Amino acid sequence: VIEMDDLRARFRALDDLPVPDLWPTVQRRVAVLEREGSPMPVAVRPLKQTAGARDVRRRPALALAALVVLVAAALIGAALLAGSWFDRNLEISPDPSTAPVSLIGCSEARAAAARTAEGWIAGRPGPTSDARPGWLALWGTEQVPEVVLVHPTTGVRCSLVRFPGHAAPLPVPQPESGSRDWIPFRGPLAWSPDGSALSIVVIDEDGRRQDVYVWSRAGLAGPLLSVDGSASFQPPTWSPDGDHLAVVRNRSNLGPNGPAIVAIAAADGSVRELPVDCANCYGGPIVWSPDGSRSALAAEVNNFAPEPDDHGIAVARVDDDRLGILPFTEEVAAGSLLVGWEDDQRVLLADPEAGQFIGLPVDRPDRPVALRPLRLGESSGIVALSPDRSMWASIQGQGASLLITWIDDGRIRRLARVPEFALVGWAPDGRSVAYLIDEQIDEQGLWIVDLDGEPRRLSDEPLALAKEQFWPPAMAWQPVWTGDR
Amino acid sequence: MDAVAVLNNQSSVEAVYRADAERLWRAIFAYAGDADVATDAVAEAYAQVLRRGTAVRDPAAWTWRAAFRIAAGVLKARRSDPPLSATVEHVDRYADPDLLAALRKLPDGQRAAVVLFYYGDLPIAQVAERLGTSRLAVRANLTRGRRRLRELLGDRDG
Repeated sequence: VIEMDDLRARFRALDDLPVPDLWPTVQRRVAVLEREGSPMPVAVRPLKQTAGARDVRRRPALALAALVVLVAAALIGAALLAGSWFDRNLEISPDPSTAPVSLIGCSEARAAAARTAEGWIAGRPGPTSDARPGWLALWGTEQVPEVVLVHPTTGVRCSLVRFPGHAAPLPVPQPESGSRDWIPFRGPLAWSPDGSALSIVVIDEDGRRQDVYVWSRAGLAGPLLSVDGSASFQPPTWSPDGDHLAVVRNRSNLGPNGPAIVAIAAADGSVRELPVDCANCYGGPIVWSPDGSRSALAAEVNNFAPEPDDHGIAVARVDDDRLGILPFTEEVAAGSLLVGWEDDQRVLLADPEAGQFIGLPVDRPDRPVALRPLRLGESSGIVALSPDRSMWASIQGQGASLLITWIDDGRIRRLARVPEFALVGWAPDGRSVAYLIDEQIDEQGLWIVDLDGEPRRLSDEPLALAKEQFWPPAMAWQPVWTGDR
Repeated sequence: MDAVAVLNNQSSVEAVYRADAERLWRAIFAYAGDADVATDAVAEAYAQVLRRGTAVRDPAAWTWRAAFRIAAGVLKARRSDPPLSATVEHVDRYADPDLLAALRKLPDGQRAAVVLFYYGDLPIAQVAERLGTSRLAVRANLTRGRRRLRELLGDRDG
């Protein structure tokens, strides 16, 4: 933290640079623009639907091969689960005396990851009252990308799956022991609503190739989607029933983007694509409505040379062929954040300037509704909204504290001292917050803190937590339930 | 827009310019490493915001975003052999020449994220918004950019 403050101080030296007065130049340029006519960039306009729906059922040869692989994998998997050498020699498994009941154990999870699947198996979450934390999914730090599971109670670590095809040399020589000096950049992970499937975005070390996989008890499906360096994925999000996975694809940054594309993968492994209704835009992650019938994303709809109303919410029914833009009105500031859905008819926005949560009816976007107060307090760096939307966790910049703010009355509680870039996620029951410190400092590792407790370190191994700090996140933390579901 | 509205708009944009343009110019200079690029990008951004009139809701934010994108476009066009203008060494003497030299060795994405975060004092979400990229990418660029700066500037700096 002190080092970062030093860097800020050095940047402040820029304030001594002499700057020319450009106002006369600005006025001359305006006169030229007026003579030439409007240089306005392209306006928002409908697009033709792009091709790209991928239906594996139309590929009989592939389907037959997949069937053979599935049958073979099922036989192998059955042997593994019956107590084979592989199962007996897993290096780590949770201690059943201390671990909560989990939907799937380490050995079973790992055996499933060894199988190839066309799609996945996932479902709706069970009753939340009995929710207890299960596995945290994180990336390891080795040259070969590796997803590991860490138990939030015991700290037990379990290797789930590795991706040797995405290995790349680390740019910095690593010490043989102690903190690593380089933690690879990996892609987002997201558990399905019932915690039985995990979406995995594997990113090469150079950040160019990105592949989307889904792990479940059916096996490892994918890559379901891929991009090269000309585009990137937003973190995938699951439909409430776990049957669909939506991934937004944008062209690369710092230039015209073209339309954002929403790819929706179904549990059978098929994929269809919906363009966002703009010629040049950038989309955030998809947010599903409670019943899963609609999806929304925050879109910057004219990215390269932004228009005044250059932000909006793109909304569509899942069976539509594109996502239409609901432009912001005077009553809804362009700085509003897409939080989720108030109900199946209204998108839920947070407007920090107005201090309000706002409901935006999808059929009457010109009539936004002020819902309830939004109190940010002093916490400007919002990183994670709690599962019940009553609190958020944030990291205050300089001084670097992990803070919890209660939205209804603005109360703030300081939970821990953390570096500025620590990654944060809520437990599914909203009673704990996990955070990962990947700075090369003594506190490096994975930590967990109850809202009324002290921080405890789950692992001092440097783990790269691969969940983006977007709002609202659902950190890759598997919810599990005791008893029958 | 009628004449009165035009004048009002010009006054309000000029007020934003007087309050913010120097800081924006320095940020673009740190990003582009070229005073001419900074001058062109900032002037073009303010000219564009004037042309759009009162329809731009937040001229200050708009001009930062537009100026960075204009500068990025110029740098991209020059990619083969980016010439530094003759003013660079001159203006570096007023600032922190080691820092500016180190910044020039960062890739575009890392440099933009570092400048907007550390000099622009913007949170990660706004850095991402203004660069048209994801917060995950901004965070990665900040982490890598800072590490690279640490290597280039020595242990005493971050």
